[in-house]
Amino acid sequence: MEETDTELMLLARTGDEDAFRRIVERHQGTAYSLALRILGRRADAEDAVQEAFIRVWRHLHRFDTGRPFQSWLNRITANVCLDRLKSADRKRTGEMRPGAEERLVSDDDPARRLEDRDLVRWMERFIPDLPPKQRMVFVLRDVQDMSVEETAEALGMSRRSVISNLCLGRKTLAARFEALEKVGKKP
Amino acid sequence: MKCGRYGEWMLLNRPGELDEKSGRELEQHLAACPECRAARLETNRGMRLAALAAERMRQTQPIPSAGMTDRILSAVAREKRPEPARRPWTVPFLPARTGRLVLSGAAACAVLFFAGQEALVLRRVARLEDRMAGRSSVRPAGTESWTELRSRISESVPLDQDRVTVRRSDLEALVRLYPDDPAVRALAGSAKRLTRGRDGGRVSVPDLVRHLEKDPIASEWVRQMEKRGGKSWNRI
Repeated sequence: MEETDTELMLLARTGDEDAFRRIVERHQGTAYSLALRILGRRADAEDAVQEAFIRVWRHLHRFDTGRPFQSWLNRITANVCLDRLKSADRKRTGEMRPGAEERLVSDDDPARRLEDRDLVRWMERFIPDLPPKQRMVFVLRDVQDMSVEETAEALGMSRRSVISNLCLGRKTLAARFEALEKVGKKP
Repeated sequence: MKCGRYGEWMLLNRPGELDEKSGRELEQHLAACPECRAARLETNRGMRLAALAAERMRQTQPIPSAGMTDRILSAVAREKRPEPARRPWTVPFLPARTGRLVLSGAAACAVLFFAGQEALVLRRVARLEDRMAGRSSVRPAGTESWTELRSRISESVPLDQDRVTVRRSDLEALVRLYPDDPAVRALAGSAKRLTRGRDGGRVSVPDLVRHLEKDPIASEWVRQMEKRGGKSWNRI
């Protein structure tokens, strides 16, 4: 029978490196997905996941075996991403120049409507433009599909603060999609 | 009428975000407020597109580059597990160097004394385990003795340093890991009985020792864990 995360973590605490390897293999995909959607660049996301697992290793003894490992890892990954967002003094990937929506839609096909594939692509470009907290909350809640309570726990925020940042993020994104839609509909 | 919070509520369109009562209040407000109805109409299309984009993203899982596991594990291998910060040894009213000499001497005496005690306890545990050998199907790996195996297991149970307590959930996780070990089962069973309905699922080690009097192996094991002390347990 396959060991649970908690069992693997207990083994890892005793210095069992194979158990830690299995933990990494099992959870790196989810952590990467979360980091990529927050940070927007593959290289940054991979660095963040690596940093997150180093923190897990350093603090193995702090893991509460009564709670799911995935929640703990989400919290650590989110914190790593937030640290990077705060300290990064870099141009964001996909930062929109004024009028970029118009160019992309009208260059391809003036009469084209937004398709699913475009929606995802645009969302991936809009998310990095949100302020860090709104971005984190939006990604955890709407993209990773965590509940409001899980999001609050992962980010160490109050429920009220999560709701408030979520609304601001959604409002901004809705406005950008609305603008995009209007442009896309132009003949 | 204040419309501020209704503007926010209109953006909470996923389950669990707005309670039923607030939902009804919002609908009543929208029925009475043309400005908010217009605002909702205006944001509706964008909201639906954003929600659809998020849903499409949920359905696709980005894949990390090949070799990321190895990269993570190599980075982890370069890490040393952090030891708790150590303060320099000092004795009040004595110069630092003399104080360290005094403390070193005292420590050496203590080590010699406790090493003798430890050897006595270990012999007793070994005798008990010989007698109990038929009770368990768990076998130590390679050349590892029973005492070494249990010592390794006990290192995975973090001990609260100040209150000398362990979490019940940690002991129960051990049972799942070593289901055939009667000592592990006895330990978790006692923890379960002792923590029923109090103190957030933690049990004190002295309580465990008292409760396990009837199970010689488990009680000796806990005494060993207690003897080793919380500080070394947490220094994993």
